[in-house]
Amino acid sequence: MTSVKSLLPGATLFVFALAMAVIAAGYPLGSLLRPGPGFFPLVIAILLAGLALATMVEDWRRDGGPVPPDDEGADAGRVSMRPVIATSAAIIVFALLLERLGFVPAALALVAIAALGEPRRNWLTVALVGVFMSAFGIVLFIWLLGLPIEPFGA
Amino acid sequence: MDLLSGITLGLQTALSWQALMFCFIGVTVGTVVGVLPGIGALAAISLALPLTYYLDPTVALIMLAGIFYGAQYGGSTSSILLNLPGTATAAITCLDGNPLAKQGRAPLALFVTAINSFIGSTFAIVLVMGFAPVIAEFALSFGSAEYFSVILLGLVAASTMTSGSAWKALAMVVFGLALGQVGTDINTGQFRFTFGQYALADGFSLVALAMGLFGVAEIISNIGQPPGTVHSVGRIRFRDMLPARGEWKRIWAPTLRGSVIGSFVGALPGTGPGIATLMAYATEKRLSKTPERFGHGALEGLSAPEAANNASVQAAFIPTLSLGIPGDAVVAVLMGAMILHGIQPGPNLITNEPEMFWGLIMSFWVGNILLLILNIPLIGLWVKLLSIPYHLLYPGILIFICLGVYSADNNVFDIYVVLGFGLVGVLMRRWGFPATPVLLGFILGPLLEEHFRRAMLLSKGDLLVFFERPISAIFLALSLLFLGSVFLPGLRKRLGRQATDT
Amino acid sequence: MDVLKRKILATFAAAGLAMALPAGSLMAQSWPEEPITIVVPFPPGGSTDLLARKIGEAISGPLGQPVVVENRGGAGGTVGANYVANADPDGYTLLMGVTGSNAISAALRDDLPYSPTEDFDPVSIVISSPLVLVVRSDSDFETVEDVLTYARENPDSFTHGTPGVGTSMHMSAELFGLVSDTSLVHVPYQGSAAALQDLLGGQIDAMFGDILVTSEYITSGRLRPLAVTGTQEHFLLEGVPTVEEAGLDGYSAFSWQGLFAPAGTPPQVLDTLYAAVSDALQSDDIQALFRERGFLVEGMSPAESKQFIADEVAKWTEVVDAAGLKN
Repeated sequence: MTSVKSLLPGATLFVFALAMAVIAAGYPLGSLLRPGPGFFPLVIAILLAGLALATMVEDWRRDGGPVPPDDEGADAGRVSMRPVIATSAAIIVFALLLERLGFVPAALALVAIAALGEPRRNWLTVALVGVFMSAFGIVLFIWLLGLPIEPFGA
Repeated sequence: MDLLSGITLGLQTALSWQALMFCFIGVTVGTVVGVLPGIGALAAISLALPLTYYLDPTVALIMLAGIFYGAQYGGSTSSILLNLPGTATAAITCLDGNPLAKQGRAPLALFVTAINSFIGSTFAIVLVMGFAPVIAEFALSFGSAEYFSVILLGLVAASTMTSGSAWKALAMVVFGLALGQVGTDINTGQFRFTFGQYALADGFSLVALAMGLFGVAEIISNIGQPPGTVHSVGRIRFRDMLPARGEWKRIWAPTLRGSVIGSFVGALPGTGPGIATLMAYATEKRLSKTPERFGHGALEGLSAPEAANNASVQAAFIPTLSLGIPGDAVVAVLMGAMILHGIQPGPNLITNEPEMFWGLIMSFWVGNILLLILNIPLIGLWVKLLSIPYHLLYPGILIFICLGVYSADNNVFDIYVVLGFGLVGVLMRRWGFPATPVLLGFILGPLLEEHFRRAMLLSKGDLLVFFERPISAIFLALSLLFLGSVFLPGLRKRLGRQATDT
Repeated sequence: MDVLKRKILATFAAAGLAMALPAGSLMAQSWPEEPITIVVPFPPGGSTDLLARKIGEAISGPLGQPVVVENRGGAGGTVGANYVANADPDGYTLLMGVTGSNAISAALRDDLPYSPTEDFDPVSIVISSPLVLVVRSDSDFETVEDVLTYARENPDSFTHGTPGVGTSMHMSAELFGLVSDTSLVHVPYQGSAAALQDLLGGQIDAMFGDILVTSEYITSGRLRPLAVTGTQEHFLLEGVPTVEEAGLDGYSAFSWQGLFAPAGTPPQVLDTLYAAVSDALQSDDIQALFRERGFLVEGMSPAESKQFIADEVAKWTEVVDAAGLKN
């Protein structure tokens, strides 16, 4: 039964490739010698679908055994959902606030929400980090680099 | 003007106190923005450009160029220490640099990076001084057929560079190609995969993709890890930075090869340092007797691409200064700066503006020496960054990433893109899909398509054009050779194993 | 959808305000009370950026407020243009628009999220600049007539490079093909430098290029100018005929840049702005700079500009339809 789960990565990639192929087929295809805008995407999608199947075969063979760590040194083990949700929420709120309320509120919100991703946190430290990053960001991004954002307000 | 008087004139310009000061400011700013995740050289130069309206043109260019190559130094630092590459070149630095840091050898990795960057730059600067016009003319003979073959070689190299599952690496190269298809089709102007979003008309931003797949994914994976497991550093002594005697031996040949590859590929307009760096890495892995060490902290895998990267950055100035054709996006902005200052880059630049040409080239050298002086003492400081507890560090990194991608076009949309790719990156890590090939496919794919279609357009649909043109044929043969050397032994092994399995 | 709704609401609000109360005109009289932003729909360093900064600098003094230039690049200028089309029509957010963003794109794309004619009140078309048809100096083409003869005898063979579909270089060439009834091969590139590279390297035959950029190669003897696309001789290329003089009756094409405000901006604000721009264009400093860059000073009034944009959109729509380029 673990085998079925081991097929998930390849299957996801396969579905992605399929969706891409469907969209690509809607563009003018042209021919190999005069390729249209749909030609390359379609070829890529088909290649990707094939490779997705190949990785599924490979994973099935390993039969749900441990995934070997990839060469970027990431531990391929469990990723708990808590940091994923907290970090995502932090970034979304930052993006929403940046041009509406200004950089400082956005930065403070990001720091606070991201901190919820930790199993434990010290709110005093979080507040200090927020204040420090706000000040640092104002100096670097607004004063020195001249980004068109305001510390407060739109 | 002969070489010697050129050098003299250049030194006079580059060593004036004003030029020195702005060169120093440039490389310092470059190092800082390079270290900070999310803001690359392109953003920093674009943002600094308006500030130079009131400077003397030569001095302004010296400073802006300093930001450019300074950022290459800095970019390596955050890649090695935090696994946070902002560019394709930095992603390649990560491959072996980050494992070294995780083995506690960060000072050594940073030192090798600094020295090799210096050597690569120096090599390319000598080339620019002596042969810029010749190399530029050679580069002009490259048409789309030649570019197609060079890029194909790059893609072949990309798909063989990681050390995990070959199928997964290949699948990720193609996934990168797929992501690169988003945006406007150059040939017809048709929007592809933009889903009605004009913000996607130019495709995903490279910085957002890199920062998402690497940066955000890295942060999410690290949050909540018990302290101490993320990184460990001891006290740094100068001795820790120096390679051991045997290690020197392993470094020098890759460094030289990297410098050569970087200089020549970098001089081709439109290829950018990504391809040069990638080819240098792949070459070393091919030549090595122990390719299995690559990806686990091989010094060769760090030194060759570092030398190639910096050589290509300097070499990118060859077509710009001698023909007025920018080598890559960053140099294009620098060219814009020249135009703003009333200097029209073109074939007349060297004769019309010898002071600027030689001053700029000599400033590259001065700047690289400054970078070396600046960076080696800083290594200790950067490594100390690692001793800051991660929960204090990552909110700041997240803010830098968000603002960095925002600053490219002042568009909030890119912040959502970076998050999207962060989540994709988390999934990929969990499933053992490597991220570097995605980045390389993403950069090379659109170029491959562009040049293939243009070659077909110009040859009226004759595929033979790729074989009839000698330079193109050579690169195609190299690609085949490469593919053969990678897949044939593997295939044989696989077949052998299957035979014993049954 | 959301954007559209917001835009409609904003338009109604502005219209309502202007009709119901003299408040609109009161606001217009005291304008400007805060810094003005000129959005440049390209990254810094290009000619639009330079123009915006120079004009901004020049009108800032007379208006008594700082003028800030903001670069919002993307999709050939349409991202930045769309941003301004949706901004409040209060005179504080302006656009330095170009041929592509404020005329050609409307002809080319059905799904363009804004209309160049309806969503903007032009302040002034500031400058125009013709293009020049160049070939390599070692090529056999000495005159426009040579090109036409060749193109008639060898259809789909004469290749010309452009910085992309829908750029003024591309449209100038399409118009050339339409007027002369020849079919040229369009070879699009990622930016004009790449096209120039292939022209110099002998991969393509010709290019409708920027006068300033190509003049460097013309004086160094690498490129030969055959004709300029405007209606008169250009001061940087003396002795080079216009395309019309060279035999194509009724041909004229050029790129232009202009200052735009979102539709619904109070007329008094437009007039104040136009007066400031108009004065700025008289200054020796700006005249000298424009001459150096090969720009022709236009300085059209808001009314003239509005008519001009309508004409341009109509002209390029005709060319796009005739050439079958619509996306």
